Amino acid sequence: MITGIKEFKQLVKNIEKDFEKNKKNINMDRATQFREFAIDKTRKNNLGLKPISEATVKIQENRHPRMFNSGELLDKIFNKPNADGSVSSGYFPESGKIGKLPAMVIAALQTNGYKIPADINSIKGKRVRGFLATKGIFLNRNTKWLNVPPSPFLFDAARLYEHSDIDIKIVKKWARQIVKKRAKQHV
Amino acid sequence: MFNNFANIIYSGTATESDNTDYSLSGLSKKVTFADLDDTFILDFDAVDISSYEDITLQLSFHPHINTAGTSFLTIAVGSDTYTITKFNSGWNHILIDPAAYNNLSQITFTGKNAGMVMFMDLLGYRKADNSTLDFDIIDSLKNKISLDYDVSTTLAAAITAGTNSISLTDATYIFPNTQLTITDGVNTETVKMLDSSTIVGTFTNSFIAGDTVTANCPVVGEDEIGEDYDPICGLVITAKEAKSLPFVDKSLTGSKVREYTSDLGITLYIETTAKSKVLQLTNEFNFSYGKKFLIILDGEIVQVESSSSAFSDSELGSLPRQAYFYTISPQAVTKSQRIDITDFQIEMESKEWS
Repeated sequence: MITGIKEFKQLVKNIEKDFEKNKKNINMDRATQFREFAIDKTRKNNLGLKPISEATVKIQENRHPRMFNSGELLDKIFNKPNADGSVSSGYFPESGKIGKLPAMVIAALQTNGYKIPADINSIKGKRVRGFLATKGIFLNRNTKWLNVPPSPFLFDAARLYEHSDIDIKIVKKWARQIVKKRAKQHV
Repeated sequence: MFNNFANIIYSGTATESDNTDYSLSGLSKKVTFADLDDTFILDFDAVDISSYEDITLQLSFHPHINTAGTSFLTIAVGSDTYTITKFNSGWNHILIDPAAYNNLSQITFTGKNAGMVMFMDLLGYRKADNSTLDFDIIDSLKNKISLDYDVSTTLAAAITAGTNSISLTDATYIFPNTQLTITDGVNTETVKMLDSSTIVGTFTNSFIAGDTVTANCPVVGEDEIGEDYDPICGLVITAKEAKSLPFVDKSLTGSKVREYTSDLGITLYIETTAKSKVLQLTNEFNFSYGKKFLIILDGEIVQVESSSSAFSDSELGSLPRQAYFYTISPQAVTKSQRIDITDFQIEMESKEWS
């Protein structure tokens, strides 16, 4: 039982110390929840991103949400603890490739969008046209570029996550645990 | 959807002039009401605006005169006169319900304080139209953003109208699909490069050797992204999320309950063949617009804030690109309307208790 203002102030101080001590764990928990939220929303196509084109459907031989083919890119999202106890979420490794490119590069391309050369007079364009032809896709002779629109899936997921109450619930859960533990000492 | 009144002719006893020093759009009207009851009259092409949601305009007064409780300004719209008794400092967003105006051709301002100076900007009429709601934002961004590619040269040889050949003195940073503006001081023509010596289509005008050629970084929406300009500042809608955010908008006749019903995810990207130029344009964008900037959307000033930005280098034969990500709410839709009560009568009758 708290009998005076001095004891109350000490209790508050101890709770603050406990929060500081658990800062990294709390933030890792929050980052993990965000990662799972982002992957889940992307896989279920709940980010409101544009659907994939018919050309992509033909190439992948599968109709699936944007950003999700085999799921390899999403599985590579990781959380990075920082020295100050914060945790950065939504990282892609610099090493480790998916196909020929690092996951980080693929994520940047998908996020920003990109153009694929398709100029019939260029070497790269001819290669692209040849590949697409094997998938039954034939481009207009005058097409010089294929535009793949941006898909900022992580930023959209972060926005949705911010509007949800998941983060608040995690912080409240930790707060209850910490306060309950300290409160027991004063019973 | 926002429309200007067409072919406005200004008259009246107040003095009016165009002003660029103090405005929201870059050009406002400065009106000096030197004497009491001086008028500022706007005559325009008659228009039926009864199906629209608001007449909208922005007004600012200098010096600021607090005359609470007394008439400050009257605005006559059609057969109605609205009396303004007070204003806040800075710009005041004025809304007038247009339901009664199926043939409006004049608006008159009458000053009620001698010596008053009024600035007016963004006068028009608007409504939330499902077909234009989202692309109005793209248009607003296109009107706001301007980037200087900083590449100029001259014609190395004359151009004859009807031909498609072009020869430049210096073609550094000019690529296939670069948009060029050529001018001789009298005629100006904008063309797109097909390759290093030919344009898409043919020239409308003739030019001589030595005429100025400027390479542009056009700001385009999705309808023009297929032009594949190089460089390009592209605006793409990438996501649309439903939401419900109601609020009350006060007008001169009452109030309207409005609601933001969606958020639009927009990506703005800067792209060109030369990485150094992408970085230069990015630096200019960051300096001129930064993380937050203001746009004019349907007669209102709206703040736009980038949630993040990312750079992707040249891979897979693609071009280097810097992208910025925004979430912007389209114009709110009107859910219901309340009209101020001006007369309220209660009839009472006494009765005996039984």
